[in-house]
Amino acid sequence: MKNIIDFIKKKINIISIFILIMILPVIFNSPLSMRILIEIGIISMVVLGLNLLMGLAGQISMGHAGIFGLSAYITGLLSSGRLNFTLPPLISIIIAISITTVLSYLIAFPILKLKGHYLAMGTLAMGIIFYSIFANLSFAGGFDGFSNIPRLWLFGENFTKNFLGINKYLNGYIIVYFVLIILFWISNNINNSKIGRSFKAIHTSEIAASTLGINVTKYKIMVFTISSLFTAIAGILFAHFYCGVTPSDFSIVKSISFVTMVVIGGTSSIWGALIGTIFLVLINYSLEFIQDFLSKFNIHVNIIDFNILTYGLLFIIVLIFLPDGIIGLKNKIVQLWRKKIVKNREDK
Amino acid sequence: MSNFLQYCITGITLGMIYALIAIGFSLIYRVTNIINFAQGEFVMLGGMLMILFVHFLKINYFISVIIVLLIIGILSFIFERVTLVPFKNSPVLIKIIFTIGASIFIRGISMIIFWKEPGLRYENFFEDKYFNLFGAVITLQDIFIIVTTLLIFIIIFILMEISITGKAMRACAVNIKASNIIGINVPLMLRFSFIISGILGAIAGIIITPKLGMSYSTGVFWGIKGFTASILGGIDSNYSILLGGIILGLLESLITGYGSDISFGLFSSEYKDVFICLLLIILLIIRPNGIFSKKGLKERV
Repeated sequence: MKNIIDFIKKKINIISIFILIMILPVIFNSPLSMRILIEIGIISMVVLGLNLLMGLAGQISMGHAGIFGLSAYITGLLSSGRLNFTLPPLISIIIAISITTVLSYLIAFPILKLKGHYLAMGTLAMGIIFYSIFANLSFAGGFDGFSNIPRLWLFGENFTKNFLGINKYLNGYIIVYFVLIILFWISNNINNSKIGRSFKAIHTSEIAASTLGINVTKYKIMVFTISSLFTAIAGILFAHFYCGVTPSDFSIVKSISFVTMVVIGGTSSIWGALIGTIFLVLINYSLEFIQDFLSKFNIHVNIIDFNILTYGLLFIIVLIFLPDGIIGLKNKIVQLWRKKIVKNREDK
Repeated sequence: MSNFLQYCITGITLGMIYALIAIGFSLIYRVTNIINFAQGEFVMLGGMLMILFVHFLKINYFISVIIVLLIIGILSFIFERVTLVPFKNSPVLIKIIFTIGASIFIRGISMIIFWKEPGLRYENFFEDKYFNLFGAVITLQDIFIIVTTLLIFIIIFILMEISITGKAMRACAVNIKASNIIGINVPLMLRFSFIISGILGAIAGIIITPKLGMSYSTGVFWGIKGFTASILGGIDSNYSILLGGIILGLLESLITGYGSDISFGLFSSEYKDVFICLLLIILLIIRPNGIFSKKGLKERV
C-alpha cells in the first residue's frame, strides 16, 4: 500500500496530466473548444521539438514552419488525389515523415555549422525557401493551397463513427493527444539521458563540450533531426485534421510564433513548451472572442489584426521581466514558498 | 542587347537599395556584434510613413522626409535603449530573439496603423521622365536612387574614416573595453550607430517605395536581402558592401529576366526569392566574410 502511495506521490505530475487530458473533452465538448484543444495539441508538438533545439542545445531555428509545411504538403499531395496516383493516408504519412526527417538531416549538415546570428539568418532563409516553393507550386494550388485531404480515423471511418459513436473532433483529439503524450515522454527521456546532457553541455559552451569528448557536430545534427521529426509528425496531423493546407499556414510569421511560444513558455523545461503554446493559442482565440463580443454591440473592430502585435508585446515583456519564461516564474514562486516554509520552521 | 541593358539598370537600382540596407546591418554589427533583425522593418516603416504623409496627408515632400527621418531616428533610439541596455551581458541567443521580437512588434503595430493592401506607393518625386540609353529606358527616379545612394556612401565614408566620431566608432568595433579606457563614450557610440543605421534603412524605404511599392509584411524580405548583400560583399567594409549590393541586385534582375530561359523553364521568375535565400545559405557556409575578403575564413558568432 505504501509503495503505491509513494509511486503516486512521485508521478503526481504525470497522473494529473493524464486525468486532465481525459476530463477536458468531457467539459469542453463544443466543436469550437475541441478545435482549440486539437490546435493546441498539434502546435505543442512543434514547440516541443523546437524547445529541444533551443532550450536544450542552445541552437535556434527560424524556419520550422517550413519543415512543418513540408510534411503536411507531402502527405496532402500523396493522399488527396492531386497527383496521378492516390495513396492511402497511412502510407503517405509514413512517406512524408521519412522524407521530411531525411531532408532535415541533410539540411542540418551544412546549416548547423553556423552559429548565433548566422544560424538564425540561415534558418530564416530556409523557411523563406520552403514558403516560396509552396506558394509557387502550380499543381498544389499556388497561394490558395488545396483541400480534400482525407481525414485520419482511429479505427476506420465507418467503425469509429457509427459503431463507437465518436465524432470527428473527439477522434482527432484522441489521436493528437495520444501522439503528444508519446512525444512528451520521448523528449522527457531525452532530457534525462546522456544525449540530453551532451546537448546541455553544447548549450553552455561548445568548446568545453568538445574537450570533454562530445562530438559537437554530430549532436547538433542529431538535435535538429529529432526536432524536425517532431515537427514532421505535427505537420501530417495538421494536414489530416484540417483536411487542407495553404502556404500562409507555413509562413515566416508562423515560424516566428513558434519561437515566441518557446520563449514565452520558458526554455529551461519541456513543460514550458506546453504552457507557451496553450498561452498563445488561447490569446489568439480570445482576440477572436473579443471581436465577436464587440460586434454584438455594433462595434466593428478588427481585433484579430492585433495578434502579431500581441505576440511582439508579450515577447518583449517576457524577455525583459521573465527571461526564463512562465516556467521560470513558477520556479521563482516555488522557491519563495519553500523559503517561507523553512523560515516558519526556524521561527518555531 | 537592349533587354540586357534594361535588366542591368533595374538591377543596379535595386542593388543600391540593398547596399543601403546592408550598410545599416554592418554599422550595428561592427560596433556591437549584433545582427539587428529589425533592420528590414525600418525600411518598411520609412516607406509606409512616407505614403502616410505624402499620399494621404498631402504634406510637402521635403518636410515629410524630414519628419519621417526624425520619427525613425527616435524609434531606433528607443530600440537601442530596450535592446542593448537590458541585455548587455546576455548570451547571443537572447539578443537575437529580442531583435526578432521587436521586429514582430513593429510589424504588428504597422499592420494596425497602416493599410493591409500590398504594393502601396506614393507619387514620384519627379515627373515621369525617360531617358533612352542604347535602347534601354532609365527613369529619373532610377537616377535619383543611384545618386542618393552614392552620396550617402560618400557621407558615410567621410563620417567613418575621417571624422573623429567615426574613428571612435571604429575603435568600439575593435575593442569595447579598450575604447572605454581611452575615454571614448561607448554608450553614445552604440546609440549613434543604431540611429544612423535606422535612418539609412528609412532612406532606403523612402526612395524605393515610388518604384516598387511597400506593404506592412515586406520588412522581413527587405531585411534578408540586405543581409545577403552584406554577407556577399563582406560585412566589415563599406566598399565591398556597395559592391555586394550591386552584384545581388544584378543577379536578381538577371534571374528574373533570363532564369527561365537558362534552366528550360524550371526557374521561373517567381523563384527568385528561393534563389537569393539559397545564395545566402551557401555564402554563410562557404564565405561568411564575403567574396572579396582576403583574410580567409574567420569564425564569427
